[in-house]
Amino acid sequence: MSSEINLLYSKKQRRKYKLSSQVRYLRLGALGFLFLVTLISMTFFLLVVASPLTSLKQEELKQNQILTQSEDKIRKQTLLILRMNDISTIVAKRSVFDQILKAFISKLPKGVRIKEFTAEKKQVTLTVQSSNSKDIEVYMDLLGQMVSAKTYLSRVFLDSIAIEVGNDKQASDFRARFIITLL
Amino acid sequence: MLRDISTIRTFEDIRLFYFKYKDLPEFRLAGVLVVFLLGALIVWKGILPQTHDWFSVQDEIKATKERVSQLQANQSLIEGMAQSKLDKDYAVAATALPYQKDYAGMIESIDGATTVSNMERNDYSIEIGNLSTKSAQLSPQTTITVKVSLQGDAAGLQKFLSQLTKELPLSEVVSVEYTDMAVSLEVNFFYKYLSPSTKFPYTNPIQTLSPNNQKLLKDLAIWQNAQISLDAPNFLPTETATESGN
Repeated sequence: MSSEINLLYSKKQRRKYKLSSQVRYLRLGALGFLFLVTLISMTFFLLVVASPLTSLKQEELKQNQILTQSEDKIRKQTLLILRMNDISTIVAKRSVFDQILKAFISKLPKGVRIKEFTAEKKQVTLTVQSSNSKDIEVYMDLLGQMVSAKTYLSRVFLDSIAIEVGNDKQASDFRARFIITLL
Repeated sequence: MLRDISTIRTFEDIRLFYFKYKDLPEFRLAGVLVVFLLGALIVWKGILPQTHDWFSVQDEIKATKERVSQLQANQSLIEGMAQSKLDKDYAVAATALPYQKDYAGMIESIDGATTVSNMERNDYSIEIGNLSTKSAQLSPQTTITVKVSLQGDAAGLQKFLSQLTKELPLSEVVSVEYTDMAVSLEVNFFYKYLSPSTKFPYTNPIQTLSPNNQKLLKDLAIWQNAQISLDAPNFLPTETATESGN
């Protein structure tokens, strides 16, 4: 077989033919790619168009319109909650001087009376008076117990004891002044 | 081939160029390249923005569904509320913590506590402060101080202090001075303006009172005396809370 016979492909021609068949596959691939891309694009377009967003927006609008009729109720309820939260904070943080004074009075031994009571923020000054020094002593102990039991008080400091002498040269009146720190 | 391209002038030139080179693999390859480029262009300009749109729509759908669901929950909650009870509760809360300085309420509170405790009331003064400044009107929580002088014993003072905690508007005794039956007190009465920035969007969850606040509201209602029906504030935030009335 001679290479001069014209019916046979030369080496160059064979390479060319091979390249041509590869290009055919590539062309098919390219067309497939284009088709796929178009299909995906169309799918996304349809998904966006067919989404239930419009109907949901309409539903939201409808619900809003319904609630507009109850506007007064909503405002009142919201304000009630806000107000009650504030009130709750106020009530929790208020001073309890009434309860402290009640505790002081309830523990007074017979014959002892409160002469002075001043209270501000976390400090209380208490002066008690009695004709009997023993009673004052008992009261001091009771205040000490209140500190131990952590009943309103964190610290009691005996500031002074004043003794009044009567005409008979006998001690007739005792006054104890306490400076008290509250919890 | 490149030389031929530069000579193209007419449609006939294009036709000749096509028939001359159409069977060349390079020419076909160029066609394939053009198709791929076209596909890439569609991806870049079409699919990517559409994907972004789709995700945005999904997010919007989710958010809208949540809003609708909240609106429905709010609606059913509101429908279940009795208007008369809400009005009553609101009036109690607004009397306990008024939207503005309630001078009459303050005086009635002190009078009420004095009567219950059998104390003898002397003078009292009210420190009003600046009414006109913007800060005074918009301060989040404010108090007005009342100085009270009383006559009575320690037990009476205790009753007075105790009763005052149950009087509305709410108050706090900030200082007490009791010496030999003479009492002087400083009482702060609370009030709170409504912030103009308070909004009432329907999509926010409408809250209900916590058990603690329900109990507190019951206590407030018990403490409230007959004056409530006379001076119940009818204040809603469509108006701006100001001190104009004072």
